[in-house]
Amino acid sequence: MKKVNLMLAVTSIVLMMAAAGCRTKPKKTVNAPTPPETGLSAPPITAVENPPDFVKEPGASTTPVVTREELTENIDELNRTAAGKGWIQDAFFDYDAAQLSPQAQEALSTSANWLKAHPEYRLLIEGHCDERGTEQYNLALGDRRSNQAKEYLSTLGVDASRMKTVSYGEERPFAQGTTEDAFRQNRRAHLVITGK
Amino acid sequence: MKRLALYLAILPLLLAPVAAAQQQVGIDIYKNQSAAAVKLAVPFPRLGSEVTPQALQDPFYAPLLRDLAFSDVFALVALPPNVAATTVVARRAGAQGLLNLSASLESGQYIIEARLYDVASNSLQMGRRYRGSPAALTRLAHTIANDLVQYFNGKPGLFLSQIAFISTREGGHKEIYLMDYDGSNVRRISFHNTITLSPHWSPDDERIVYTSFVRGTSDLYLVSRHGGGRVRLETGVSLNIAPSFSPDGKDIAFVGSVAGNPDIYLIGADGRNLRRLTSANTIESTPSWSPTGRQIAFTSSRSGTPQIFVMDAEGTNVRRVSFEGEWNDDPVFSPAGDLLAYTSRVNGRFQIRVLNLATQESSVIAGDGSNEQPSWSPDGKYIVFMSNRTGSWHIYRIAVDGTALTRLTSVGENTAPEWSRRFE
Repeated sequence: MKKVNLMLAVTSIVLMMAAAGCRTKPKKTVNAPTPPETGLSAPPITAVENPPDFVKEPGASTTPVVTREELTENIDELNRTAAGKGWIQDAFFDYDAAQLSPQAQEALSTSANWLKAHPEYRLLIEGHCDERGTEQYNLALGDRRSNQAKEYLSTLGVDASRMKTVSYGEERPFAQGTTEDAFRQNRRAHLVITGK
Repeated sequence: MKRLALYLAILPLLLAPVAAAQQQVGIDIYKNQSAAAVKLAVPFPRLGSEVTPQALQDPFYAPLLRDLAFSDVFALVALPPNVAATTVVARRAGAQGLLNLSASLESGQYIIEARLYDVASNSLQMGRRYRGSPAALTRLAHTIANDLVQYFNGKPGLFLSQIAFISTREGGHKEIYLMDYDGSNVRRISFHNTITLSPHWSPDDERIVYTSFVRGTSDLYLVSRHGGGRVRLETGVSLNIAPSFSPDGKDIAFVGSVAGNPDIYLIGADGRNLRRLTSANTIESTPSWSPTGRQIAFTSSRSGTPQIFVMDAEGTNVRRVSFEGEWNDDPVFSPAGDLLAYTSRVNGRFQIRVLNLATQESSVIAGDGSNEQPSWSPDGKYIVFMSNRTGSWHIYRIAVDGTALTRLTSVGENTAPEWSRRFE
């Protein structure tokens, strides 16, 4: 209930300011315009000069309030689905290498098909390295890996302006540990859908 | 000063039997590190009426003794307890010098008077009055130690120098911290809550340039040593890692990338005048200036694996300098410019290698675990580096000859140490 009152009060202030902006002589009482989409009429709002706090006006709480917000797609969920179904696949690399293996090319080719079918989405390509190298050199190597992937996707017809790259070097490993499997998991260009 | 020097030259010969007797003193700081060291007695300060021993012990007296013991200029000599510290007593204890201290309080400020006597001649060699708030007591101790080293060595000690490093100790993100040369007095100066990397000091030690992922991409930032005035350097290229201030403070060398080709670039410290120094189609990384500013060392994969190269500051005259190890990175010139320290993989493990550029001879000095990212002390006698020998990353300090290994951090993961250039 408190929230509703606050919302009304905020609405009233916004309306007040809007009203003040288009009238040379501000009046003490204004009628809120009827929201055209719903046809619901808002109660008259008494404007208070420099309101010290949000005082509940008589009758203000008796009218149910309708608010709306745009639904946005859950990008994390989309990324999980795209990865789970294999629409978007990461490219994996050999040790201290940024060349795309046949398997890496195949993974990117699959990803390119989905990306071309969904031209509204943008893509971030993260370059990652295993921890066996040095920090600075691996950041440079990750930059090279992410750009190799970007370039290949571009040759497959994905618009380069949709794609950005970043290198994390060995800063954000996918797998912990010092096994060969963990190292292999961490040498990749990771494709992340970032939005429309 | 001349007279004291004369006495000091003769005294070790005369006092050899006494020196042997001192070895019974079981405290670490009284171990004689060097035969050439001046044997110095530093009794606890005489106290004014308002000053308690507790107020001085930890913040002042202990760090002063630690500093003097750390220097290879002095060997500390213990005096017998409950006896007035006269030059006679000091001489009997085998000391060549006596540092008498007194502490008093005046309007909330400590006044510390330090008097250095030559015990043989009973003459005052150096007398100074220091003043500072209670919070400044440790800094005051470092200042006195620096002055004493300066008096005997002609060069100040490194007791007021700072080591910048990266730590995850608060909040788990990599942030920039500063600490004293001995790992004490840790302060945090970045609050980005994201990956922050590779701090590097400006030559006047007033600013630090570093890389952070604040905007999601890696960018270069400048911040004052006190943590204020942060600005982003708009380079116009991507990657923006491994920044290194030129010795004249005008330029910053860094690794920039266009379309996945990392190269060494220069940009003015004012963010203008971008220049590309390398143009090979391979990975170039981790630039570092020679102390004269005439050369830049860097890492390149142009010969197949990451190796160390040196070029003139204009990007010309490139030559390879590392030939041992299949992965070398993080080159740094010594303050005198004659040595190059770098990370070098030896038998599958990273070590700190010190290469003599003139003779091409090198030695490995680190030890267990993976050891990376060396940085020189301003006097060129020590190297700090990061090691994971305990299972987590910590900052270690080691003498260039491979002795005196000391761990400086204990909390969190600690990386990328960078020693300030000036002495204070």
